[in-house]
This record gives sequence, structure tokens and C-alpha cells, in this order.
Amino acid sequence: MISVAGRRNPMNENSNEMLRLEKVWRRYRRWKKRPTGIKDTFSGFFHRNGFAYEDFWAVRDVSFSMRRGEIIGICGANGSGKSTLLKLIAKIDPLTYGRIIVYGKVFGLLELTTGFHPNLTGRENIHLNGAILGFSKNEIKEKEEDIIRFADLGDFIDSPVNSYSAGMYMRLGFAIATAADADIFLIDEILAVGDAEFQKKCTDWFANLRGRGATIILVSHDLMTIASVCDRAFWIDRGQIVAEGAPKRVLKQYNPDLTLP
Amino acid sequence: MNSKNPAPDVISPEYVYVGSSNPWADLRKVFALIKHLTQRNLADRYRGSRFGFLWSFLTPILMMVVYGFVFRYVFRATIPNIPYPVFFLTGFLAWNFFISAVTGSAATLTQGGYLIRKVYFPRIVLPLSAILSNLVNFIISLPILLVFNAFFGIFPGWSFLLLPLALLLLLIVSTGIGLIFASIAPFFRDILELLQILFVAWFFATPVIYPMSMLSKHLSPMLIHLYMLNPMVGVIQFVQSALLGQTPPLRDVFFSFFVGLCLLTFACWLFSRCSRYFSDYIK
Repeated sequence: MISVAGRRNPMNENSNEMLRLEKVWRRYRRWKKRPTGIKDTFSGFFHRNGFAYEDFWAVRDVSFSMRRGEIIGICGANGSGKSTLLKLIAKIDPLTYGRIIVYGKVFGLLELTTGFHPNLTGRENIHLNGAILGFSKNEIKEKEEDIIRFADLGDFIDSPVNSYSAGMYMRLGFAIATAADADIFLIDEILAVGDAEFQKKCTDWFANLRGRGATIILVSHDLMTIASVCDRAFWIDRGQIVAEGAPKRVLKQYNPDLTLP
Repeated sequence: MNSKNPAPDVISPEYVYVGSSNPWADLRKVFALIKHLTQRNLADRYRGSRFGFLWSFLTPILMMVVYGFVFRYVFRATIPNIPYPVFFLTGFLAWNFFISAVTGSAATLTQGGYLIRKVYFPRIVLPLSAILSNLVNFIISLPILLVFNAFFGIFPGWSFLLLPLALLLLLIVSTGIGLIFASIAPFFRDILELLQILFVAWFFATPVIYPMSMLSKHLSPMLIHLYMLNPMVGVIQFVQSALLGQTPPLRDVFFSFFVGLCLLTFACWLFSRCSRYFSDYIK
């Protein structure tokens, strides 16, 4: 059974496919008036539109497929649904309609700073995050030193993270993320954290990831990065893919003033 | 970078966060995660206090001193066969576990927002670890209770062998009810406040401060049937009889098992349905 052919997936015609989205939609309920006090709560019960909400489609009818080792860049205005799309693939948010088929392990580097318990030390947070990422105790112990070296926080690693600066938070979050092993990486606007020295580390890590043939979706406002590293680009506007194809062409459509080398 | 699990993960609107290409490997990870979070909860609880983990021993000891004194010298309640402080504390410790497990389980999701918004993991580990860390504290208090009871001349008999079963029943009922409140709390946080009042009423509808024998004198048979619907009636009696050397009331215990298992099944179904929407409500 263990042969090259054995790895092929019978359910999957194109064995190099890693990810497929089929007509994916995501609806958010936006409360027009969320009761916040006693008065609101009472008036909410007595008025016809007291608890009115509005449907807001953050992702509309998105379909695409990704090959193994492909790097897709996504650009678009703030609030256009880029991050929501990644959250759907990472299973953090549920989708409303459609289907996502994932071949392999997904790791999302989204909102780096939210996974920490403020009262735990940096080291304890590494252990907590490691357990959540599915590592065994021994695996975490092995990776701990690498993570601490990558984050390079000095003595602060044994202080509670609520004493960290914003930059240190980011560094620790990113360092933990580098220890994850997965087939598909979702990266949301985080390659530019920290000072110049740390940014170099991030870029090196990303280059290494590319070298290993990882499949990557990169959301960024840094159009230069998308143009230089991605195989394909999407422009997302109001939840829809409005342009898709070669990065330079898509980025030109998104921002006609852009001058690419 | 080759994927080791060729079976794809299909995420659809019906996906209930248990589907996976390799459920057994996942289950092992889930247990490891529950264990980690339980240890975390236990360590967190006394973080920054001088005596630290000693409080797990000190709290029940001090409670026994206070209640022992009050019921021996101030309130002098008496019931047949057993010194009242022994009777009360045995039931009360089990009851205390029940309310702290349910409250902890209900609160854990709103507190765990920092994790829920960041990574995917089966959300059920949060309430389960809250319940288990309370169970550890309860089990620690049991030997102390046995010493306290021995001081009053009460020793467990053969029925002590049933203690693991009694704890299992306590755990089943607490987990069932804890998961139900955990499923509702993210959408309706007011439930955490209501819970406090509910527990007061529930406490008096459970034989903790009075024995069951007293009940039949004061309630009509109809009301007693209604009373018996409370699954905690069987649980508390089972724990009391296991620790105080009495024969457990089999009918009540079996009924409690039945209700507990029904509650647990319903709770698991409810939780899996609700857990998809937690990330919308937990900020």
C-alpha cells in the first residue's frame, strides 16, 4: 500500500489538488440595535423592530481550486471579506452555504495576538498553544527552544504576556506559528511584524516554506510581495472574486496607479 | 509536505466540528488537550496566592471546621442514626462540586474567547476541562471528609466499594447539565446570573440539608413524584450512602442514571449544534 501511487487520492481526480472551494457563502448578522442596557432591553420587547438585524454577506459565491505548492495572493479593500475567507478555510468560522474540501492539514496565521492568555507567561503560552495545535508534550518540549530562540525575547519569556509590548506579542505569536507543520498555510497580513531584524527572520521563514513546497494563501496589502512571490492573485471586492489570474495583471486592475518592476 | 491522510476534510454548513479524516488520532489529541487545560485550570486557580495548591486541601478543612461547629453547637439539628454535621457535609461537598462544575463549564466559553477566535479545536474541551479540574478538587476533599466522619464515629462500610460508581453518576449528571448551560451561555449570557438563583432553588429541592425520610412526612405522593424527577436526588443519596455505610436506594439511583444519560446525550447533541456559531458571539 505504501507506494507513490498509494498516496493518490481516489476521491480526487487531480491528485495534486490541495484545496477546493465550491460556491462558498458566509452571512453575518449585523444587529442594528443590540440591547445594551435595561432601557434598550425593555423597549426591544415592545417595539416592532426592537431587535432588528441586517444580513451582511461577507463572502459571496467564492469558488476556486488550489494545486499542491501553489501560492495565491489575495488583495482587496478593508472589509472586503479576505480575512473571513481564511477563517472559513481554517474552520474558525462556519460557512453558510457551499463546501470546502481540504486535502491535508491547514494552519492559519490569523490574528497573531489573540491566542494568548494574558496572565500566563510566554513559555506557558507556548505550551498551551502547542497543545491546541495538536502537539504532544514531548513534541512541544522539542520545539520550545526553537520557538524561544526565534522569538528572541530574552528574560521576558518567563514573564506574563500582559507585560509585553505590542511588538513582543507579535514576535511570540509568529514564533509559535513557525513551529506548526501543515500542508496548507493561511497567512493574513503578518509578514511585516517586528523590527527590521525580525522581519528578516520572517522573510527567511517564508522563503523556507516556499522552498519546502508548501501551499500558501497570502492576504496582504503589500502588493509588491504579492507580485513577487505569488503564482496567482485574486482581487476580492464585497465578498466576491472580481479578478483572478496572473498577479501583475490582477494587481494592475486593483490599483491602476501601481508601478511594478 | 506530503499529506499523510489522503481522505479529504469536507467542510460544509452541517459540519459539526467532529468530522475528520482520522478520528482516532484526533481523539488522542483531544484527550491530551483536555488534560493540558485541566492542569492549566488547576494551576491558574491559585495563581498569585501564598498557599497555592494547598488551598485545595485548606478549603474543605476550613469548611468542615465551620459547619461542624455551627451544627454541633449552634443549630443542633438532629436526624436518626447519623450525626448531623457528617450527614450534611457529605452531601454538601458533592453538591458543591456540582455547582462549581456547572458554573465553571458555563463560564468557560465566554472566557476562552482568546482561543476560540484564533484556532480550530473541538470546543467541547473547554467545558470538559473546567468540569474535570473541579472533579480533581472534589476527589482531594474526600479523604479529608473520611477523617472528619471518623472523628464523629462514622465509617464507610461495604458500600464504600460503590464510591467509583457514585462519582461516575455525579460526573454524568454534572457534565450533562454543565454542557447544556455551556451551549446556551455564549448566546444568552444572562444565564450565568440566572444560574445562581436556580442553584438556590435546586439546592432546597435536593436532599442535602434534610434526609429523604423527612420528606415523605411532609409531601403528598404526587409532589414526591415531581420531586424525584430531579436527577440530583439520586446522585446525592448515592454519594451519601457510599460514604456513610448505608445501602443505596437502588430505584432512585437507577432512575438518576437514566435521566443523567439522557441529559448527557441531549447535551452533546445540543453542544455540537451550537458550537458552530460560538465564534460569532464570543468576542
